[in-house]
Amino acid sequence: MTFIDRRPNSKKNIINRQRFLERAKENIRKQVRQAKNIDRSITSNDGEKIKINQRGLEEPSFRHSRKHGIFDIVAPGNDHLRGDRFRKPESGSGSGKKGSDDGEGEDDFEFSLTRDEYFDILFEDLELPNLEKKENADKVDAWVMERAGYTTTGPTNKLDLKQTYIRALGRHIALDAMFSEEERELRDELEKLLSDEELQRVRSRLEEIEEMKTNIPFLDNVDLRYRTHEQKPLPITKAVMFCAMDVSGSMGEREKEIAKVFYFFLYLFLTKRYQKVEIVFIRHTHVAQEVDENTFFYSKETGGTVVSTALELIDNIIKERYALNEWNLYVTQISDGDNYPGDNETVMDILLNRLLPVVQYYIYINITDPQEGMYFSDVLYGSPSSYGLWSVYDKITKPNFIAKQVASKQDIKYVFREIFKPKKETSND
Amino acid sequence: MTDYLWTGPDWNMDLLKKTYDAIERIALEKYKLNVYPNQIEIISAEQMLDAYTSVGLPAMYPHWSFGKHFVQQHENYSRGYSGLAYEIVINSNPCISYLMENNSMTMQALVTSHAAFGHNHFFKNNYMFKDFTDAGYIIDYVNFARNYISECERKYGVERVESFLDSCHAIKDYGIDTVKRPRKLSKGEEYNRQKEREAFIQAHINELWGNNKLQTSTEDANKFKKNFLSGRESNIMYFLEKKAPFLETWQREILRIVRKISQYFYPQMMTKVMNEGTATLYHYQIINDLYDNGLMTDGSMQEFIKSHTGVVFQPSYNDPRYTGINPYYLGFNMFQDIQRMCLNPTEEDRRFLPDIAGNPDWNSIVLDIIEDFKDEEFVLQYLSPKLIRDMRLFSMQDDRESAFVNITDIHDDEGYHNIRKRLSQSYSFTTIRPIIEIVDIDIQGSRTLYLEHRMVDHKELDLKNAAQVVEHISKLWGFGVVLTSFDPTNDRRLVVYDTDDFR
Repeated sequence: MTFIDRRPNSKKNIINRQRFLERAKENIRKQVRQAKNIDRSITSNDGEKIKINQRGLEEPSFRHSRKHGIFDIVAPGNDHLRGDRFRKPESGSGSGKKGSDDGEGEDDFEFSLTRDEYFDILFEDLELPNLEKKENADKVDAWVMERAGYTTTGPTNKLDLKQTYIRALGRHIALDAMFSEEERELRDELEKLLSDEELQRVRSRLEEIEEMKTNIPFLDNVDLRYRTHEQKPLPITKAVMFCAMDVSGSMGEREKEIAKVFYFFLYLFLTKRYQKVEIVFIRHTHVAQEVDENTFFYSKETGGTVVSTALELIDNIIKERYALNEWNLYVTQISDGDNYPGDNETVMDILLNRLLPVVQYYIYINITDPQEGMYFSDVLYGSPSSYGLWSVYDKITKPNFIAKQVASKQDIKYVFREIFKPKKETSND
Repeated sequence: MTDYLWTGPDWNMDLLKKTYDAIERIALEKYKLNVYPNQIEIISAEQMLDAYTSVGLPAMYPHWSFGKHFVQQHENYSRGYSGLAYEIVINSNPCISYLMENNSMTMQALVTSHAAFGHNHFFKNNYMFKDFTDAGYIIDYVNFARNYISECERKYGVERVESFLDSCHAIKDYGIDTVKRPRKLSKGEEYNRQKEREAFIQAHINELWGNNKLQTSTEDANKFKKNFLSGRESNIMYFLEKKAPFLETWQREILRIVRKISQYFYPQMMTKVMNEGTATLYHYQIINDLYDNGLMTDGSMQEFIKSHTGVVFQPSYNDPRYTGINPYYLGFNMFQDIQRMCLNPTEEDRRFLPDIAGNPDWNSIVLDIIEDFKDEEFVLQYLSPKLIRDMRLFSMQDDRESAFVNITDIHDDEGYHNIRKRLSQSYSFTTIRPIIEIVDIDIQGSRTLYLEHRMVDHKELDLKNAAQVVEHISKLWGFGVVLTSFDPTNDRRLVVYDTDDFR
């Protein structure tokens, strides 16, 4: 009898699972594309359950149809008399399995993708950039002193005794050895010499060496070692994501779906770069309100549209809760472009003077109609009011300001390409 | 006085070994079990899932369908639908059993008795296993298979090999010689003969197809045809492996691999009730012995009883949890009933089984039964009237096209015989899977292969599945295939699928 512990060796089924995912790729992609992202919380770490049909994943075999034929079955738990008959139950209970007609019962099945797998497929499809390759655009507002080896000069309090003594010892040994060698040679020479002058020379040299050996200084300047520090930038590892959305009637489910996917990506983007990421949800009509994620996406409001209220609220929250030297700020604003005409000036003021100077990025997404969305110019827009905000935002050319028209989930990639563009190319200033 | 083998739930290697020894002593000395050497492997729950979905064989070749099963089972497991099979055991020599790392010590003892002794004994002694599998060989063979398939994937691409495997899997139940016992290969022979086989097969194929000119006389034509098919052929996989003209040698080898592995599982398919019955009976006996000898605490015993009861639980036909007759339930109860008939027979028992009623040596009788029967025969012979009553077994006739089910027999004097017969039939190979045979080839003309499905009880084939399988067979054969269904009770014949219709 032998006992074997196989637990350390547990990689195998990854292969089969991968092969299955590969095979089911098309089905899975389709499901992911159609999935209702709006139901998924931005911060959720859960896997995603998807249901795929089995096309291409069938395992056919010869088997009896359940639709036809006479089946003689023996079963336990009888509560009838011979000759009785009873009505068959609805399929799903008793002896029935799910599904009833040919090709039955195995149409769809559900399984879970991990959160990462799910997002990989979602983002791959939308051609969103790989989050791993990123530039370091972090704000630096603090410095930290870090040890940086040794120097040969410095203040006494930084003298590193150990390192110094190691060097002193080394010097001793080297000098001693050097003197001793010459001493040996001289003594040898002495043996062979006869004349007085030679003797004198050698003897006096020997005396000199004796002297020098005893006078090797314990510590010499050349031994000294001092600890040194240098200043290094300390990246701020916290980020806060402000999600501002116009929730007046014109933002329907389609718009919110697009917004959701955008937020997923931005959140993942931030979580990969910062240790801590917070989200603040601000919804507005003609007034602005901070709410929780659920309310943000699901509740409906009625009212006009005054964008500056949202920006004002964001600015206040920043001042109250997010000290600039501790937090990287990201603001995203999503709307369909409407704004109360007289408000545009206030919006510009808050943006240019209060927000843009302190945020890492301000991202504005204008969700447009698919038909309209093809053309980004003002001329082909619809009614005058619909280019209200856009015409104003479009003119801002700060390097940390991005405004994009987005007509579908596919367009989201343009926003992020902007963020990932190398710095030199960006500025139109 | 209290010399418990273990207390508490935690296990370690020492406890496992000590307990194993105690179990072995009882199994061998008291119950005279005769087992292969045991190899017990400790694994994680994930590895158990993996083993479970890779058909229960370690080192099985990879395939996307196993990934799919894994993912499905994982879903079920995560939702708590299925208690993970806590016992998987390989019919091999040495006999490999798996212990899950998160089992309690009591469970490890149960699994050891059940798998390492109960199942092990069954594998070694039952005639079906002796005839159809070479236990000393299967692990090596599966390793050979996996390596060979990996090599093919490297040479010909994963997609091509997986796609070919899809076709093999579609007909994997049709590679068994139920009549002729296959020759058993010795260890290592497989490797050596593989090269030989390649050459031999290719020569054979050339010869077979090379002479394919139009035969002038009927006699010659018949003789030529006989080279291909004499009589009806139920071993479709073997036929295609040896005679399909266009398969490459690596494809023939893979077809053979799938066939061999299927063959390995055939006896397990035919003895599920007896096998589980044996393992459950002996785990029950052995654990009770441990307890009676003061080697187990009351707490452990309670845990065991709870688990055992769960394993042999049988929902009634109208219970929403009902999915058929639980083989553990039927097997265990039948063996216990045999025990009862030996030790405490009633008049009825003496009439039903005079040979064993009243014979106090129930264990020898059970051991003999284990050797000589498979499920179909076991049920026919040993399912007693009393057990039928206890289980309230009844038979019903379900005409799929009717909205009603008829009760044809219940547990009374009239019914015992019929119920036994019907239940026994449900374990026959021809009931489990449809009878499909190759009956003709138009070898001189279109080369079409003709398959016939022989209906039993008017049961028809599932059309969608049948169509897909026939397409797979056509891929392997290289020409068209026609499948007809034949009902011998009324000579009705209908074409189920003809690949030509879709070309």
